[in-house]
Amino acid sequence: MSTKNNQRKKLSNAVKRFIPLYILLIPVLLYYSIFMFAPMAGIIIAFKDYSFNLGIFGSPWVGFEHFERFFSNGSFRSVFRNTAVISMARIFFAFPFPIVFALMLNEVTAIKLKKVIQTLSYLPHFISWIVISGLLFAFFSSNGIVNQIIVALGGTVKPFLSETKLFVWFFVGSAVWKELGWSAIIYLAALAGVDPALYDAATVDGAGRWKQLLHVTLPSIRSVISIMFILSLANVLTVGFEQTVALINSSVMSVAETIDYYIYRTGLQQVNNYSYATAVGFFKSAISLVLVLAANWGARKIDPDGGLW
Amino acid sequence: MKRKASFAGIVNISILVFIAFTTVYPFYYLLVISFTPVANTVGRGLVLFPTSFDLSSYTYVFRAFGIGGAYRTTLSVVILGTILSLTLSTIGAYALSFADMPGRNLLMTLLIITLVFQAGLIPTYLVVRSVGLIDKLGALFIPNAINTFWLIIMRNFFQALPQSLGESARIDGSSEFRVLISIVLPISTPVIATIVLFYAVGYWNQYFNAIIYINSQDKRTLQVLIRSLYQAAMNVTQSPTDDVPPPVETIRSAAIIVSTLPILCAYPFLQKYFVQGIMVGAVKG
Amino acid sequence: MKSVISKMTVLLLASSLAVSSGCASGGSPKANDSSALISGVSDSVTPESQESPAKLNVFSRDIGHIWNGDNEVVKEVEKRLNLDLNYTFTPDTEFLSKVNLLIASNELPDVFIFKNYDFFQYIPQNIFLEISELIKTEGQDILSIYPEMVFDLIRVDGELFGVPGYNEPGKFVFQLRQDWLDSLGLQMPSNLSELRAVLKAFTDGDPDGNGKNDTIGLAPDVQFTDLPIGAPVFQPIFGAYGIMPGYFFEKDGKAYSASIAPEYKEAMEYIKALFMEDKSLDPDTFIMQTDQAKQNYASGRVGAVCGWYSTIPVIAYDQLKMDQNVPEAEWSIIREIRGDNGENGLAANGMLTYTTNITTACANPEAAMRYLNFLATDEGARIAAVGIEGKHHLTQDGQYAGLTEEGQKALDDKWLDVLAFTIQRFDYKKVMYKVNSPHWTPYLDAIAEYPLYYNLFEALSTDESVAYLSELKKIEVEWFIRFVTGAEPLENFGDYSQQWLRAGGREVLDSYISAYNEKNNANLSAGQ
Repeated sequence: MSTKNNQRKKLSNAVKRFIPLYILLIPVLLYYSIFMFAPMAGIIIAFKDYSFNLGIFGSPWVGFEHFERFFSNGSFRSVFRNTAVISMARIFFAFPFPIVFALMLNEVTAIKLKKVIQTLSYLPHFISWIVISGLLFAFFSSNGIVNQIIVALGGTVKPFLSETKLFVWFFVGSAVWKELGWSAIIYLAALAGVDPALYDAATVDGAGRWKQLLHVTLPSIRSVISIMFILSLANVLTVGFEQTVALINSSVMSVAETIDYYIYRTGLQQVNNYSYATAVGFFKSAISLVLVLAANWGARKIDPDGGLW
Repeated sequence: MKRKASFAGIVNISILVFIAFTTVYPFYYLLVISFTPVANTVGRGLVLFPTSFDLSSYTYVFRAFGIGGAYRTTLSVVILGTILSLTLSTIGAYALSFADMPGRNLLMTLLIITLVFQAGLIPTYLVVRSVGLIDKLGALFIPNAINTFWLIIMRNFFQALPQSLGESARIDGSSEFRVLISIVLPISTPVIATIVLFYAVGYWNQYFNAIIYINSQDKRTLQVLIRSLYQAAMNVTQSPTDDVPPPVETIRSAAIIVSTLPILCAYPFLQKYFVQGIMVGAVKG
Repeated sequence: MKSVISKMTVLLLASSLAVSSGCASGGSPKANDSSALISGVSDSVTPESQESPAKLNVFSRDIGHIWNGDNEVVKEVEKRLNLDLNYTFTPDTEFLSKVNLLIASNELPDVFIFKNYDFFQYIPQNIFLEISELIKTEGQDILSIYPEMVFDLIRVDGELFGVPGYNEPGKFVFQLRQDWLDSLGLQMPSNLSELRAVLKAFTDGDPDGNGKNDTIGLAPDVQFTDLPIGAPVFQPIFGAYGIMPGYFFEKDGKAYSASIAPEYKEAMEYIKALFMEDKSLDPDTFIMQTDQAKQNYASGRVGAVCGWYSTIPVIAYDQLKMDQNVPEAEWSIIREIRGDNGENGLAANGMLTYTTNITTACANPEAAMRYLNFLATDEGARIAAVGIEGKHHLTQDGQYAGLTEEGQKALDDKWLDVLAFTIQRFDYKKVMYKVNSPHWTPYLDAIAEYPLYYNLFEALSTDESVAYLSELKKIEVEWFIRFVTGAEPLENFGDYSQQWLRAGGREVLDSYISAYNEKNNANLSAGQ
């Protein structure tokens, strides 16, 4: 008798469970429908020849014409390559830094020092790229600090900022430095949620700091890392426009010009090319989607709960 | 058990302190420049020590027409926006954290699509206009109330919480909403604090939307006003105006300080929620 | 009772119809519209409305002005012309985005103020009023202040869609440190070889006498972006060789691109010598941003600068206080640098700084044109620029004689001259600048004296130019840097020319020529 009651209770509990959740979702879904999905109907502009008078739905259909134009453009190859190089450098090279930083900070036991360092570390996030490019110039220009030191030590002036080979390093490196503290916040939040009892247990088992890092800390935040990685692929081909404008100069244009900057420089965001720009955006999103799906699949292979779905 | 100081620990701290020095330097530099009279900023390159305490850049910024209103507007947007965003994100993340909820995968797919595909400026603007938000304060936080990235982060945090957490409450007949409020939220303070911070800072720094959606000058946000402030100074190269404000660099420094300092205070305020060990149970590893 | 209800219903219906149609058609409803509706008059212009102020919404780029509700200057203009003015400002960087949105959502203002030739791309959208007739009836003063050529610049197929903001084409000044010339015992250079020697001496000769090797002969004033306007530092040299790369020119009935002309190669050899042999050109010329360029010359490090006329008087002195930092500095204007063939000159630029366009949504275009016309008159230009006589500025013998304290404060608070950038009266502004800041005078005079190289195809826009021009500019810049820094030997100039032509240069040149021939009834052919 009690099992039947339990079963019934479980069923009604299950139903009770989901309906309120659906109700909770209503305002959220409302928001998405109005402000995310409704405007997305405008993406079809990528397949049309949009003109203001005819509107989104009245403009004529042109299929893949804009995409063909983009791919057959002589500059497409180099612009896409630049974007891909910078994006890949960001993902593989820049992604681990905030994590490492968070882990290092986590090891600091003096709470006050930890707080101070953390607060100071995210300050660059608030400073615009123009200011930072000015500081880069002060350091690395032909008359900058670094070259002054080099000359004083007997070397010759090295034109750091006009070297195409160095540009990606400056670009990604400065972005890493700027966002290091800020991106670490999410990992620090994750680390704060790790049960100290786990550490105590590990210590009792005789594990030193390093082993605890590997076997307690890292696994605990593994899912956060995995999620952040997958999500960061969602807009991978959108390289910071403000940063590009601030850091670019004529000497390094050949490696610095990314898709978004190219569109801006060539005036393709002008009114008669609006659908073309939309098509390019669509193309970038399509690539990102593929990468997200691939990464998600890979993450789930490693850990069934590690994916987005 | 207290951890002993070790060589690795010292190296660790040294590296961190070095990083902190490099990250604080630009801000320090801006601070010094903002207090320096015009003439002494020219050709200085790197700055180490403040040489003067001149307030003219700050006077220029604070004398700007409408700066008080701009602060108020931005503050309203930040407060209202963060509340709205936090509410929607939390309930959304919570509801989606139940792996066995029917339709969840479909909803997640839809969410990921909004993350990867951006609707263009014109369609979004037309939608915002059709709901009557143009030139209203609401345009600065309602259309971008939910950041899908952070919603998913939150969802994962909730998902990692053990099932058993709310079980006893549910069996006692508590509604899901009550479980969320009284059990889940109190132990999620690190992630809540993080999300509050991210949204608040996002709203504070918002610029492009404020330009696009707001036309009335009295509804300008702080970032918009600051940008307009040194627009004149920058345009001197195109056509000399008769007015000569302090040069761009000192104004820019003062403007950054003025527009950033308030939000910088938000984090230390939230730092106490990042304390370890608030969790009752273990986080799934 | 029934009649009251039915009357109310009619009112409600009428007003809701009016509101919805008002929303759909965009533009700004006139202040008298509601009264006309309630009285049931279908014709929206009642006798009283002639006396209601015409509302004008002006959408302009933000150059730092404040639109102040209590602006006395604006009130004065409104009173005189029976207007209700409202300006909305948007920063340059977001300006065109916002214009797109206004058009897409059918919310056009009455008047647009576009930068340079930006309005061209919007002509096919049919948002501008054609004003050839209107300007003849209400805009006589505007027609009288500009030469016909300026209107022709922006005419498209014979139609006029905006009022040009005509500015003097000369903009740049070449100047050097007179005190350095003196301390080194040199004469003012007037040709290329003298210039080279002077620049070398500036770099190596320790002209500031401090025993350190910290000076440079020639440096830019802005970030290097494109030729020729984005690289004023090289203009005097180009001018001495008789061409202005980036522009097109005509010779004996043929049109040429200066970017692939043989004289350009010679000019580059000279510049390369400066950069690589003499090292008298700043090594960071191609990487520094405008901010750093300003710091460079204002700190006293640079011997010669060619830049916008405000470079020395306004930026170096007024803004960056060069008189305090480098009190011994004395700048002199270089009047000419002649090449072997006796040519010299700088680039003409900015003939059209902006255009003022009345939109099709404007409810009262006559009032709009009258307003613009007023600003073109001496009286209007004066009020717009320096406010109300006696209150904001003083006059002497009918001439402008300086700002009052109140006027200066209004200027500092950024609202005194908020209307002064609607119709361009640069001649008037020059008069004012000279009174307000006498030390600008030599520079303001100099820009009018340099011989100028014009772009033959100024203001022309063809499909090919829209498609290829930015790419061509990129090729020009990249090759220029490679040639001048020695990364590419100048013998390969032919390769560069070929690439330029193949990348769309051929099409651009040809399309420009046909467009030019059509517009000017000419008969040019391609010289390259």
